[in-house]
Amino acid sequence: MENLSSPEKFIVPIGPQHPALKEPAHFAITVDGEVVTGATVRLGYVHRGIEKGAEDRS
Amino acid sequence: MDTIQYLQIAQELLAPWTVRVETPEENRVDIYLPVEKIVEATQAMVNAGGWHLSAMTGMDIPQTETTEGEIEMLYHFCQRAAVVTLRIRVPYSMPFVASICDVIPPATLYEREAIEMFGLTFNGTPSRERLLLPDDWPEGVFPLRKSFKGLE
Repeated sequence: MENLSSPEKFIVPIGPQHPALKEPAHFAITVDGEVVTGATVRLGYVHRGIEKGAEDRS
Repeated sequence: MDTIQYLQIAQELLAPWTVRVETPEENRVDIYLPVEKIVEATQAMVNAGGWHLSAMTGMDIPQTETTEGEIEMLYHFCQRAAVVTLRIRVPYSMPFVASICDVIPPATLYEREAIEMFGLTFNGTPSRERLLLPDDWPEGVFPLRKSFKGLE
């Protein structure tokens, strides 16, 4: 019989672009029903490397 | 209490492990520590109360004809206007630093940044996943080392 129950683990991706975020960031939220069981983050979408750029100009 | 007193208290606190002390500005003190003492020193700062880890930054000290290249990690703790910086150095050939995430869990973000930008290895850090660099960034290329001049 076909399994009609919902999957045990579900990942909700948020971002990189989202109206609630002040700058681009990607969150992968792992949910079990309504309960958040894990989350990962990725940043750096607007990292400009200013530190590197300033290195040779001090 | 004023800033000078905060700095004095921190210096006394860290005195058992201190190698060298510098005062780059009136409200700052830089304390050089042996690499293996960083977790104990961080724990002492946390136990003292009032101090918070404001940032962790890295610095590349390239090799010269007589010395091996080194990476310096700086842990900046703040209380009011006082800034205490704990500094440790590791050589390129042994880039191992103990993670302070057991003491200050949010430090994981700074450690992940240092891993990908400087090629350090944090022993016991909870995550080594990429944080800032893109997915297609080549392995073993560390953009904040002085030797990095851009991708081909």
